Amino acid sequence: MGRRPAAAPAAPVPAAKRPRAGPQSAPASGTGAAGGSRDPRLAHLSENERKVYDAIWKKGDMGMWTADLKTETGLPPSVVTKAIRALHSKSLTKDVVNYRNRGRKMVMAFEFEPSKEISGGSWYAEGSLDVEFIGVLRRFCRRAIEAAPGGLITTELVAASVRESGVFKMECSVQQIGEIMGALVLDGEVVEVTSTGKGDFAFAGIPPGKKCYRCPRDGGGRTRVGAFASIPCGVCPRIAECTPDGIISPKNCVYYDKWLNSLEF
Amino acid sequence: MKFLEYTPLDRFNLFFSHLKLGESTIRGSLEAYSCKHTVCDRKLSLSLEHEILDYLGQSSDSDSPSSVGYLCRSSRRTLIYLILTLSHMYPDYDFSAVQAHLFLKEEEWDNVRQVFDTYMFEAAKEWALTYDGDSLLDSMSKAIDEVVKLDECEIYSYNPDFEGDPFSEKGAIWSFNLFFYNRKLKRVVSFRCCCLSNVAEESYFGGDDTTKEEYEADVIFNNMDI
Repeated sequence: MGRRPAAAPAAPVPAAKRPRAGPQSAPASGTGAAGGSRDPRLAHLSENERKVYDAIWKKGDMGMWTADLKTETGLPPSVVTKAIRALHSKSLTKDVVNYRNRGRKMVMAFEFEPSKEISGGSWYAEGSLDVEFIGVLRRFCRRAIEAAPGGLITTELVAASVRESGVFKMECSVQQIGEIMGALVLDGEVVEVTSTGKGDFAFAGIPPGKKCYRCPRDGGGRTRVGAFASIPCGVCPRIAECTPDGIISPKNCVYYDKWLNSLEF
Repeated sequence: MKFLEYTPLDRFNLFFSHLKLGESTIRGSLEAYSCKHTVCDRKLSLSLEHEILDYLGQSSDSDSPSSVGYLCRSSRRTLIYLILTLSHMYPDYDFSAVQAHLFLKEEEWDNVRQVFDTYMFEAAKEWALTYDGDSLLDSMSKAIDEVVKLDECEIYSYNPDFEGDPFSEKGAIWSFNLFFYNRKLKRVVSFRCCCLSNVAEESYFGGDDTTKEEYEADVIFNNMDI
């Protein structure tokens, strides 16, 4: 009859495993302890390994830094390191990366998937921004807009076309596509508009009030002239000397003449 | 990397284990390692080697003038020994070969002297007080020399950016890592040192104890004559 760890307080339980209701007194059932599962492998762990495993398991999908693990269990560092190695080899725990603190050694119980807080979410792969994936997705979305009827498209339609193309291995939610579209808007590659329900919007079948996207008319891109720079005063070298009645004034401004003549109405 | 016990280094470690200098505390340690692989080292060095070769393969394709591209076999080995040493010094951290290569710099003895003059000025004064006018730098170099024959050594410093730096997590005001690597003897002596503020120290020790930090800030401000 081996020693059993005392019942641990309520621990985060992954959806798949729940402690089965069983006779609390039976020494063989290890009830209430971390994992709660009847995983038979847990029975074969040494006392230290079990202690380490329990501490890791309690952190759920947030994972645990090895230094914190050493403080929490109070075990000597070499013992903890050995225990982690043993647990890894039995596939009870695994290494994970915290995208905000890439240097730290983090471990997690095997059955959990790293939470968004440590994985960085859908845009991160192994702790760093998956630039390639994002780039491909951006180009795809841009092309979807260009190909859209009426030159207008909604986020949902883009998401649908991403899904139907089958190009991407993983599911891209509408929210994720929305994030990509947001990035494209900020980079000046697409323009966000609100549908009026008329004209092109009616042609594209977009109800009034709905947010949608179109390609910029001037081709887009990062370098866009600000509003103030698009009028002569904004870039005038003589603005300091300009007064309504002076030699230099808006009334006789040559730059305005030039500019007004160049406008097409 | 096998940790080597060397009594001449002990008195420095004792001195640096908790050197309180007014508003700051200096923590440092001198460690000696032999370039002998443990089981973990073997695995780690293989994965580091792969990482380096992959990166070399990539960078030669893209034709970018990256300094990593010129890593010959022996410098790769040196790099791996230094990273293994770092892993032993900071067992709770992972070090990537490519990153570490960017942060490692070869130094001359003059640079070491400069580091000493810049950072260890007050520590050296304390040492002189404790040990009858003895020079900290001289005594340390003598001790290191016993282990790795300084004149045969290559000296490296490790200067990571924020992400790769175990010291900046502790909120260190300054820190440095020096390595004295004797290729022939296959030994490395590391000297690491950091300076922590006595005021901030407590709040960093417990980890993410922001409430304690805020309390401390309040204490400081309440005590000010504003």
